[in-house]
Amino acid sequence: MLKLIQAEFKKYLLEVKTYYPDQIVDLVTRYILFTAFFYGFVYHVRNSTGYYVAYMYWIIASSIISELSMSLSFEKQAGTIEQLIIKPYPLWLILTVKTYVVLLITALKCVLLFVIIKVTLPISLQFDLNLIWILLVSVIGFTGIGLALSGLTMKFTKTASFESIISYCLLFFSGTIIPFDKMPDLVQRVLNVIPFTAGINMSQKLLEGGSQILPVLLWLLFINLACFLLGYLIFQAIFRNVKVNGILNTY
Amino acid sequence: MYTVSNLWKSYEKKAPPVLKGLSFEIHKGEILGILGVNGAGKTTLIKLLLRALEASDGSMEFLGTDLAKFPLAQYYQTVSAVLEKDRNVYWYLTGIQNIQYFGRLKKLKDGEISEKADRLMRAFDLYDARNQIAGNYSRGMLQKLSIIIAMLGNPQVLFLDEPTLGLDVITKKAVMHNLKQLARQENTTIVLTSHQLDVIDEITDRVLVLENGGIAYIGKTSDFKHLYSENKYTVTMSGRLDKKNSALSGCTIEEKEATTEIILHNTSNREINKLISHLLEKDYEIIAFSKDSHRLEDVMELFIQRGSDKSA
Repeated sequence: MLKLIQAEFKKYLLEVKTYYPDQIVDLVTRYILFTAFFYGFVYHVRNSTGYYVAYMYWIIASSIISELSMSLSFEKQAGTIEQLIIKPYPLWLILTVKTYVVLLITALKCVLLFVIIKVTLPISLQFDLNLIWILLVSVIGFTGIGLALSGLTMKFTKTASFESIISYCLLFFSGTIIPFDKMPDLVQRVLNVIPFTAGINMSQKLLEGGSQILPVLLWLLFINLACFLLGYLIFQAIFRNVKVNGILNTY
Repeated sequence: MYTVSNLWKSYEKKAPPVLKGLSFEIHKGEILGILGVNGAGKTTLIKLLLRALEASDGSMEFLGTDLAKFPLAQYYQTVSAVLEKDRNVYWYLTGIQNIQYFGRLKKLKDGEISEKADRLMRAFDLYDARNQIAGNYSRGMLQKLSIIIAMLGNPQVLFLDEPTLGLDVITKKAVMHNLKQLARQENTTIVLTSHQLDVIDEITDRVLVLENGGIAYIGKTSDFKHLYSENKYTVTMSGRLDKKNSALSGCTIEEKEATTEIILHNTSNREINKLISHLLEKDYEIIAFSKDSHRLEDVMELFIQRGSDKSA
């Protein structure tokens, strides 16, 4: 497992080095987006800094979900997918580690972004270290959704529209557009068992000082593991189907 | 090493099967060549053995264990492959970076990868280009890089789909030499497909010929070459001949610019001696005598031809 992490980490660093202008543009775009969203909308219109948590969740969830299917799509296009499946590590694990490496670098870029925001904008960001645990547990569930989507990419190759739908749904259900408490009761109940919204909800409660971390984490862990298991099973079922139909390397 | 029994493969339920009930064995340390016309199912067979595809029916055993139940992680530590159509390497990485990446995915230690990379890149004459981006490699260099990567970690079985496609003569010879050495010294089993029959002829111990989804022939390459034994003798002489000469009956005569070629097929030594004596008696000047026998390319051509004649 360590070899796999080492292999993917070193490869991604080389990728970042090769395509560094893209990384700089990405950072600038995120800064502009965050400034417009956070400073303009949340800080002035909603007057609450708790919303940045929802925004952060949305960025992380979207990048995990899209990265998993994008990396599979890239391997298909590059013609390296079959080389990956004949390696001692299972394909789902290789894709997941690839995604986590990207996520780690993205997280480091986000930290840099927050520092720049702190220095350049007159705002104060609330932060609780326990947010990290909630976020890490939520990553498990996001991975499940990402695996299911990359399974679909394996079969249908181009799934950018699937990805967009999921991403917009996540943005809608993040509570940033319509706050949770303004949504109908039934929707609120359903959202509480969806890992993404449950994580945001609990993080916001934690910031407001209204939650105990352990029971929150246990519940989150349960629903995220269930989501992961479902995504993993969907991925494996599609993988088997693709092996039967022989369309793994078609692009 | 492998025992394949009644192997069937169809890609779709209603589509005709690509492979129809193949049964054969692959022995430890041998080089097996898979032959067949385009679409005969060569790549499908390799992918089934690699478990990159699932069979529709039949069974495959590897080292006495059902291949479907053999632990995948362990299996992929043992086997390696270079697949045609696939790119096999990342274009934005250099040659050495590609080797390091795939070596780590094979769970090899960095020191081991460096040592192997160094040795193999020198053997394949790629050492000077090790720090070049693979995207700038020629087709031949990419092919060599793919083979080096497949050879990392001393695989017990190496599957090569068209390994010498796009290679120049020198490189092709180097690849063939290295593959032969790998099989002889490390006892590696090599299964390869190639449309370049000189490659098959040069390095394989046995050939498996696929035709219409079935096995048309499996056996020693040398035996296959004798299957339609068609020896061809050519006597080249200066000047022109009297074609009505009875000693020349049964011969094909081809007149060139200043010479004449007398071609005999599947004849006996006695007949050849008789012809040469006759020509010398008549004071003809013999310039050359040659014997072309058992070229795999000719045998394969005849084999395919006879197969299609039969089906017609």
